[in-house]
Amino acid sequence: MEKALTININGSIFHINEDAYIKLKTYLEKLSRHFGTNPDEKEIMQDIESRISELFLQKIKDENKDIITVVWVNEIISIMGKPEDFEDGENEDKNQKPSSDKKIKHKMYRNPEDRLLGGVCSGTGAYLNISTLAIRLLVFLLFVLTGGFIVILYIFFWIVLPKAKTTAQRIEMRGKEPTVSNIENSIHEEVKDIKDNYKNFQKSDSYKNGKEKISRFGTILISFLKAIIKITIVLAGLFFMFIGISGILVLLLVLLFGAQLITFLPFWGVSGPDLNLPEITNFFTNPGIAIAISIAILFFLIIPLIGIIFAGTKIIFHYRSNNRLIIISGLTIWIIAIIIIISIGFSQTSNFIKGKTATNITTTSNSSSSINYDNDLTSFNDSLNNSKYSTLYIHLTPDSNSKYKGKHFNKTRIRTKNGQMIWIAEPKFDIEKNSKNKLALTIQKSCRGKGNKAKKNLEQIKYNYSLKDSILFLDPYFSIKEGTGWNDQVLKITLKIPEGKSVFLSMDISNIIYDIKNTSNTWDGDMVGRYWKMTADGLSEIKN
Amino acid sequence: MRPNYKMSRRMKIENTKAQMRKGILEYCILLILSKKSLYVSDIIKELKKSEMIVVEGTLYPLLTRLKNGGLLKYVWQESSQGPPRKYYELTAEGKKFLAELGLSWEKLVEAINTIKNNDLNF
Repeated sequence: MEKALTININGSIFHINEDAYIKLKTYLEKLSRHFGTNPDEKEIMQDIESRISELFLQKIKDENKDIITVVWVNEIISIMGKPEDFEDGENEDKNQKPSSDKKIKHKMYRNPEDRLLGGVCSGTGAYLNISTLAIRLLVFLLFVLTGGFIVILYIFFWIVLPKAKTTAQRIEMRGKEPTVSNIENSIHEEVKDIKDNYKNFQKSDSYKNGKEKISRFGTILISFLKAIIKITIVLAGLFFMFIGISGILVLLLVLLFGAQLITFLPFWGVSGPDLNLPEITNFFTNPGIAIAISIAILFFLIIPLIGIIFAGTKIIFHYRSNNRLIIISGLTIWIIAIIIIISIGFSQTSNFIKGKTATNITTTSNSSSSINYDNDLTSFNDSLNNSKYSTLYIHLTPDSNSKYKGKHFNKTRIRTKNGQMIWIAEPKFDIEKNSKNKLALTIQKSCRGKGNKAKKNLEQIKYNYSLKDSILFLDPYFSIKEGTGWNDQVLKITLKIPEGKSVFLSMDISNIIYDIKNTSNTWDGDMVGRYWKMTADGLSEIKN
Repeated sequence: MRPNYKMSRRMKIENTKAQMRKGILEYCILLILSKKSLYVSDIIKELKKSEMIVVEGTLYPLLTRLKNGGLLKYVWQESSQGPPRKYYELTAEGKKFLAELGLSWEKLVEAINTIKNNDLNF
């Protein structure tokens, strides 16, 4: 009685005796190794396999037997020839160690024979010697748990893992021993080595041979280190994969859904970055450019992460892949992304600069009038002068902070109102001397841009203030209507006071006061909470 | 020491023969394919008839190299016996190359004949 197997060579099914199978397998491996240095190895092996399959089919027909025996395999080998019989002059690498003949390489492939999509699951199953169904269930579970993000990993493996096309590759895919138990075994072996060495060490100790003791200790140390290195490598691979995958997850979440969502994730917490894609795009008035830069940023960030995953999988699993192609194409896309980001950045800045220059050169009313004095202040100024109080108190509008709750984005914030986003920014508050004997408040708006567009942008800037008795209330922010885009809008409030009048700067305006000149050269932040009087020399502190 | 010496000499002769065959094997393949587009086993049959190759394995890397060099191309054809087969044929470039090889072959034969027939009378 003999054990028989069923094999598939180039799409045809054959029954084969076990001894014949082993012989054929080693032969194909030998051929594959022989052509291993040849860049066309895959194609040559496929041709050879298809020819072998044909020869077997012929044999079955001629001899009317349907099982492949060792005799047939020997016959085939004599027809096809052993690598040493080849006269292709490419077999100069005969100095290869013969011992490597018996070692079957174990590599990860995609399994084209049992696949639902790309054969990644069944290939992984074959590699780890775990049932494909178990892997598929696990992937499905992860699909549900991660909300579909496992798909990224699947596609990644689909791209980098080669398909097991030839019989030799399918043998490599299964390997001699499954990898999980391989890793386990090798670790067990190392541990056993350590134990043995330690035992020997104890024995030698009884002989009290000092020299041997030291060398024994050395061997123990080395095998111990080996075990540690092996475990570390596997852990490092897992760590790389984890970092890469979670990085991509977070990146996609942030870019697509904004920062609010990821604050729920345990490893980001509240300290997560305070921006998202819709906010970034607000920088750019042209939506096409906004999309282009978003995609470029996505690629710029995602490619290093994919590289980390790739490195991690390479460490843990062994598979053949076209490293050079993968690295070069990845690097190319990455560099293109950087170029796009830089060039778009430059074009945006140059727009800014152009706009500014235009303001400086042309003074005609129509073109690029980005500075605008608010004329509706007359009545307000009148009431300011009519107040009988000698001291003007300057405060922030009460409860205005809750009104402007938003997210920080440098000095600029974003507020959502009825689902619409509005930019808000801090104004700059200054105090000057007025040569005329009256109080005056001027509001100056400016932004970068050209011509009518800049004018339009200025109209979108809204700012509120009010006067109640002797208190001037200033809003902490001015707002810019959605759709205007950020063009470095600036709002400057200047309070002009005549000689003899005094002001009290309340603590809460410390954020908005901006470079107020005074006789004692007091720093802005220290000017608040004090009384100031306009004198002939300028603003000076009233000391109690 | 003697048998070893013999052995190595024999191997050298074999090697020289193999080198000679190898040199003209490509030419032979191109010649065979210039007549008709053929399947690998037909090419092998022809080559075996003229005792050009000993084992088939020699042929596959050669065919792949010639194909990748642009001298050959193949078309898939259905076969009655099993999976479709690759039928090889010459490309235009292959035909040009073959003509060149023909010329240099004639020159070689001429050279050999000249050497053989020359009575060394000097």
